[in-house]
Amino acid sequence: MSKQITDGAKELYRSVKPPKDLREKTLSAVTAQKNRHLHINFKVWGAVAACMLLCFALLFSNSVRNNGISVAIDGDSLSSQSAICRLSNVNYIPDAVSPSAKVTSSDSAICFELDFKGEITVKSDFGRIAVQDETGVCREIAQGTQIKDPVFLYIFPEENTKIAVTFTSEKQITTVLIQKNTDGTYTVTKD
Amino acid sequence: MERDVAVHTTDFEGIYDKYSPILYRIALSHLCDVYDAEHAVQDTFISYFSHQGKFTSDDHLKAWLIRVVINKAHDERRRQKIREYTPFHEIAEIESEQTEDLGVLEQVMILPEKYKTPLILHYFEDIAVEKIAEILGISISGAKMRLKRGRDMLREKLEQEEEDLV
Repeated sequence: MSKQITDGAKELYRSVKPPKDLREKTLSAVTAQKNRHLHINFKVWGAVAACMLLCFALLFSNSVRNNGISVAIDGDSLSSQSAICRLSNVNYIPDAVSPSAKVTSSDSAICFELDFKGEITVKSDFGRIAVQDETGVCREIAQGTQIKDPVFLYIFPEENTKIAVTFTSEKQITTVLIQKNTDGTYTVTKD
Repeated sequence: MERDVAVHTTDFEGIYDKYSPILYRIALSHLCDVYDAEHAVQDTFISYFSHQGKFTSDDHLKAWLIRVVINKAHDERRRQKIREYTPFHEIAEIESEQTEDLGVLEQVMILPEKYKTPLILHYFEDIAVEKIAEILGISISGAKMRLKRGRDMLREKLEQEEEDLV
């Protein structure tokens, strides 16, 4: 193309300018898009925050359930912390308690977090037994009492004594031996 | 040095002011409709705003914006119904007594898009052949070939026009 011709046409072409209001329109459109992004982000982060809050609430409620009660047996009051929160080397799942039972312990008591279906009876040959129901209320139960719902079961062994706790379900009888050691830990063995 | 040119509003306004004329001209030359061209430009800047990548230089950004506006214009054209032909200078409201220049401009605008785009980018927007190849996603030799054929076609049309006048 001849330089002269292209220069003239180029000049005309480049004289074309976007309408003045396009700047405003575009900035508005971009701002709207930005807000939409923020809105979406807000939704996403809102959902994440809600999930986190829910998790915290669950953890907290569990913590309250585990920690926020005191255990009183025959007038002896144990703080919740001493009752269940200090894990020791005990972690035993009795076979008879289906499907699972988690054991935690403290200086004063050993706690079986029982999760089962149906009914079981619990009997110990020495020491007292207490159960904490899902509302957090803890009460002592008599030997051989039937337990229907998943509960926290507390056994209070004496130091350097070994006690046998028997879980009896329809299918199976399991006995575990619990010994409180001098260092405050428990040893649990299956009989 | 790599820099992030995205997101900030003040940056954005600066980028709009710098690149909107070229983007608008390209959109208008493809779409031959003021409103559609405005729409394509807006969409391009929205894409830019949403773009998460980084641009290594102003040239990189410019090439990216041009590629996007061309793609937006293609999308828009696919949606369009057939329109009655209106000369580009009327659409763009170009006023000039230089009829010869207007004639050249009109002949460029009615070239097939395949040849029109490289010609506009190279001769009117002063973009190097290498960049045109990058923008159009073709090889450098392909870009050169399109420029040559575009020039040839334009020459033929202009000669034909002259003959018709005589």
